[in-house]
Amino acid sequence: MRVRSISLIVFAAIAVLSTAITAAEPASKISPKIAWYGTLATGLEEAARSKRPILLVAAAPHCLGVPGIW
Amino acid sequence: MDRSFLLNPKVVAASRQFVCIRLSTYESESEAEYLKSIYVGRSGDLENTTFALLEPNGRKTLSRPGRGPYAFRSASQLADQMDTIAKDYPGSQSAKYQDPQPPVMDRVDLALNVAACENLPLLITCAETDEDLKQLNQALAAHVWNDDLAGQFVFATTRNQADLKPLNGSTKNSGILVVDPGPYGITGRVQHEFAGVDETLSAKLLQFVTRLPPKTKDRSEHRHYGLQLGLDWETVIPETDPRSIRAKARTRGRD
Repeated sequence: MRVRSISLIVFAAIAVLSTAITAAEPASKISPKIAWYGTLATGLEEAARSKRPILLVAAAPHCLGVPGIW
Repeated sequence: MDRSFLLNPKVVAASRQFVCIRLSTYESESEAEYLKSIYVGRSGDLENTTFALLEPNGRKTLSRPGRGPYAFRSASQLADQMDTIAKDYPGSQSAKYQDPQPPVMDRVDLALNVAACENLPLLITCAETDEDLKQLNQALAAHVWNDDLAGQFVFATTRNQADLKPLNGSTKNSGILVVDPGPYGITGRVQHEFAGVDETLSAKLLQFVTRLPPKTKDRSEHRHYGLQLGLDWETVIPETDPRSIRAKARTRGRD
């Protein structure tokens, strides 16, 4: 009975700790990604404004006609 | 295209010095004409993928364009080249990474599909008037161009309520919707709605992104079930990539 109570306390403590860790997940966990302009007009406008060179990529958002995959 | 190049951390870091434009091939006549002016393959026509580094005017290429970044031996070499190029452009040296507009797409259906392709959430701004939409987008820009959030969403903007029909769970006619796209990008579920922009928005978006479970797709399984479901994405202009056309004809039994 006592072992069971201790197990329950330990389990509860782990649950509380893991919740706290999840709530405080650092932003560094997110993998950085390229921020894409999705239209030519807006991208060229920003490049002209900011005088930054352009990384241009084009791809079809479907494979064999099936959407949801490049 | 080998997407590993574009996910490489060094390339992502170098990309902050560039304006990055990702077009959806075959979804706009004028964009297709532009892409053809940058690169055509052996077929002499537009192919499914294009890769180029360009001057800010969007005309002169700064590396050999192609179907992919094949002029570079590795992602590291591409990143190094991007860093070298950036040194010639004062705009790239600005310490402030803050564009005045969010990188919105003007078609919600296409943005939903792109978000599904990227396994990313879609953020949609919607309002009843052009002026309201402009103000909303300007306010949003201040919250999404930072190292934590840049690249973590696909963006769309609309004032046409009909564009939101494929989405479940939407209750607002205006504001910001955060949408989890379905696997095929033809439906989506609204996860959060914001009536407008306030100072807490960045933190809320960051919290949302941080808690997203990672999504992955098995390419052949995705295609297999998509074909079984009878899905067939209709492009705005006809596809012209011979390899892709042949593969589609083989798979779907068309001439």
